[in-house]
Amino acid sequence: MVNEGLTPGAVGTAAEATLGVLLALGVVPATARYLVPLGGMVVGNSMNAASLTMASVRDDVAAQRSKVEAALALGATGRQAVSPVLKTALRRALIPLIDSTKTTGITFCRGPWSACSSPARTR
Amino acid sequence: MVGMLVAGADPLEAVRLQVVVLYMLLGSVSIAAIVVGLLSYRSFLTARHQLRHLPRGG
Repeated sequence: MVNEGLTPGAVGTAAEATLGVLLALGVVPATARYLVPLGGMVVGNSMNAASLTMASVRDDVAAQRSKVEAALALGATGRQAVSPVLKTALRRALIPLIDSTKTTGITFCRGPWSACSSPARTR
Repeated sequence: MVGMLVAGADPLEAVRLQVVVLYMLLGSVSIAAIVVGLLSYRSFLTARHQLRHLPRGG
């Protein structure tokens, strides 16, 4: 139902914004040694969040259909009527990332010794 | 960060990089989710701001 072609645009925008700021401020040298892992983390987690957002929007609009239709019947535009549903969907989509920030600084080893990774998983 | 510490980097440097990565991820994931949310709600509405009939399941 929801257009899956939105994901590349959204992930590209997010990657441009964050990596662009990092490179412009000189925080990270523009070498492949830094850009490949950082870009991989950004793209991986952004794709995850984009899929979760779309799934949450679809499920919440179907579940809260009467609320959206009541707002539409009272004269709201489409965007105004959907915006509370969008807010809950966004909050739900950010749960995995915010959960991973709780373990920042704590080494979080899930696999064998050689596969230990920080909570921001590199892919 | 664990890899850097195991490889013998300075812990303060590793923590700095971890904090940079953390904020970078928070920003990028938020931007991606917002962009997708704002672009995707239109597919549930017709051109006349009516809610489409959504099929159950899927």
